[in-house]
Amino acid sequence: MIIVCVLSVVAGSLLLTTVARYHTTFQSASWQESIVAAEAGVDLAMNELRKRVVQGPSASFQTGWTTTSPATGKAYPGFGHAFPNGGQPYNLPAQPNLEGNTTTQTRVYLDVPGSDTAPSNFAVANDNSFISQLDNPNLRDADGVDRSRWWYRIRALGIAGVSGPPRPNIDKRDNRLRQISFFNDWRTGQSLASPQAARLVEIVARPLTNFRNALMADKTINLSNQDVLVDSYNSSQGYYSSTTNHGNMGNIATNGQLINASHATVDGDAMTNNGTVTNGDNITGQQSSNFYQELTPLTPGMLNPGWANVKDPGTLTTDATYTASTDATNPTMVHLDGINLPVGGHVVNLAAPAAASSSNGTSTPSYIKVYVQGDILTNGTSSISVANGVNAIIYFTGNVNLQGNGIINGTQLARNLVLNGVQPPANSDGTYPSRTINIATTQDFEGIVYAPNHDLTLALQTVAAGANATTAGNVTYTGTNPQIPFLISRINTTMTQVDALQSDYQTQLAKYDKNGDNGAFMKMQNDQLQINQQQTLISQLAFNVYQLGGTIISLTASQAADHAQGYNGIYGGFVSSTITVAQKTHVHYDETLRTAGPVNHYEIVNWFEDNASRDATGGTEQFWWPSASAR
Amino acid sequence: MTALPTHPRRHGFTLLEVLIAASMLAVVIVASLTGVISLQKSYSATEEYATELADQMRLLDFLALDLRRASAPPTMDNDGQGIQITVPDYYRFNASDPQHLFPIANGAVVNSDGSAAIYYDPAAPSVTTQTIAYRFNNGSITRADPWQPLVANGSGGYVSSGPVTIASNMDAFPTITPDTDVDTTGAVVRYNVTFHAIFQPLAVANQTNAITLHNVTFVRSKNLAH
Repeated sequence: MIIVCVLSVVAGSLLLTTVARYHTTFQSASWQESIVAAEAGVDLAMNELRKRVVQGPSASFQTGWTTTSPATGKAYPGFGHAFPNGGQPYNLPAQPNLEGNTTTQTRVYLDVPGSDTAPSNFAVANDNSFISQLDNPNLRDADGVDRSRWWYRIRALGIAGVSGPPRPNIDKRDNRLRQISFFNDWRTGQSLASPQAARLVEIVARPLTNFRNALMADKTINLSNQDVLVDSYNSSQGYYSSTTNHGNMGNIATNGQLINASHATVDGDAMTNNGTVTNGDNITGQQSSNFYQELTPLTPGMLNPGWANVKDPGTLTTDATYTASTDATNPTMVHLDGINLPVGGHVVNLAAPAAASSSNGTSTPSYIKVYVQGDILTNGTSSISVANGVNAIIYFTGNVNLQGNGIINGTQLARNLVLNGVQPPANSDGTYPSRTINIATTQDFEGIVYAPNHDLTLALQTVAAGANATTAGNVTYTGTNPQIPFLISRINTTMTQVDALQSDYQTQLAKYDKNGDNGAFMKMQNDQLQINQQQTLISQLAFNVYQLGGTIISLTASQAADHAQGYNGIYGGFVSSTITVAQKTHVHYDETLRTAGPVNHYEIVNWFEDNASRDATGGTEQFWWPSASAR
Repeated sequence: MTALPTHPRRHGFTLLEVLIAASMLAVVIVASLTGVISLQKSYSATEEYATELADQMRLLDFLALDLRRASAPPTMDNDGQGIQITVPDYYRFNASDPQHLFPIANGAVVNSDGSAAIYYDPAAPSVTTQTIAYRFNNGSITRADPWQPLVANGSGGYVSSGPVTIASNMDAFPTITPDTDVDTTGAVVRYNVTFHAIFQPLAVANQTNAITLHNVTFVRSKNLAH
């Protein structure tokens, strides 16, 4: 009998231990499933945020989601702009057939960790530059506010049922880690019909704009040769300088599998989507293969419906002038079937209003949008001229081929000229026709391109001795030297040669009409060296402008140095289907573009879990931890 | 003739019977003892196995929890016997209510280079972090974090309870390495937790419970440092 008792005791202990551990396994499994449910809630909320970018505030949550109030009957407490249902949680339908024949539930809270009236804590929300505003007012909230640029906070509560009896684990450490609720929800105090594991994830999502990298392609990037350079600068610090305003954020990235760096110099990272970077020996940053950035196609439906009311039929083939508006919220709208400027010096002026001009050559900002439902072509000395101070956004559905002077951005800031490729109508088989953008000008190009459906080629024409001038416009001298502060050189000379031949160039400058008259291509007037586009003369003497004293405002020594070596510069950021950079093209990414432009999608910038909860009164958000006595 | 009185015969066990019975009893006792010992061994083994499995799951769950919210890949201690995991300090202890940690504040800043940082405390506009430390010592792994359960310090205040042993009977610290097959920036961390626990109390050399659990975690808050 004694033996039987001993055996029974031992067997009983073994059974108890086994059952307890068996339940531990179930509790752990449910705890794991609850984080999956919470993460699913985060994913779906992120998806909803992205949906709003395209569909506007009318975008609804997933079918089957409900928005019942919390158990306390109170809206989610807080601070912040509840989005968009007054702070109530979204509830995902229960998912059955989990471990132990239990179910999971997901509850999602979505709000802004600021206030509706003071989102100023979130800097991105304050980027109200012209290029950051949505074209279509229907994409904004009913009150006209574009909330896509805000930072959002997502809290997702994943709940998984726990099979077995409502019995705590025999190890307190497991109880502290997993905090299974057996009879009452420890977050709300609400009684439970069956045990559950619940985990809360809190994330903050920041908006991402289109131009986060110097070059971003949906498919491939080809840098063609070792003369290509991609680097960065910060336009808020002035013009690009290879010595004083130069950065290493010239990142190149693709959603595809291939970047052919072709031994080009890339002062930045190279990123593929599970692909490879070939000939990347001159890439100074990291190379990685886990890149993906969703590219939202720019569809006609995302454009302002008001375009239909300003249609100007026909293709523009000769001179024209459109004057920008000083009202950024009501820009001038020009709607064309195409722009095709043949050789012959035709100029389409996107002009600043007279009131915006000033005597010193600077302008107050003015705004214009152009919608071209066709191609944009320039040749020879013909050009599209965006006046100094004008902010121009050009939408186009066709091909773009910029030859010769191309588009001249008078402000020389990339954000003042945006080229947006609109998705063309689909073919009968559902595919989209191929479109191209070719920027092969003899001028520098300052601008931004967003064209996910277009194949982009950046191949500025190499400037050779005797070729056309590489810049046009005014060079403003702000120093006090009464003497002419500039040297003019032939295009392929170096700075050393300039110094050696200084007197010779001064002589040549004198030959070209220092006082300015008779249509000379450059002249000094009111401390401004004006370089005009008298191509006949320019073609006889290509030139560079070097600074000898004072400050050159609109043409930097680095630009001149680039030109002197036969390089042309592209300043801005570029997004398209494929990207090819050829010739001796140097791409200088403007770092201020990282937060500019329309929001494309969102990125999780912090992740915290099992941290915050409502207290039992529905009041202050607090991190919950059991009292000392409960521990 | 008078018949002799009959006496009831006293029946005893013959020696043979006693020997047989004793033998049988001995067999039963031996069998029982053997069963008890076997059962005890089985109990011990099951208990050890279950405990160690629970330790493994606990360690993996803690590591996954901390790595997911880390702001950078973990750093290994110089002696290879521990790691440090940096976690953004979004919640701060408030002495007036030691049972709760409060959100510090709200706010976000975009740096001049476009990188982002979230500052929950406008009075201290910098990213504050806390460090969660794992250490291996004498076969056990301890975990210490700033949000440990608070205990009274005897003078009206509260202090952290200090490092907590979350797993025992390990023979080495887990292998924790960046998964460079997936990502070269260190944002994906792979780790293996292996136990070589010896069954107790009937320790026998080489009689061990060796199970390796693998896990891969994405360091989700790493973007904070971008």
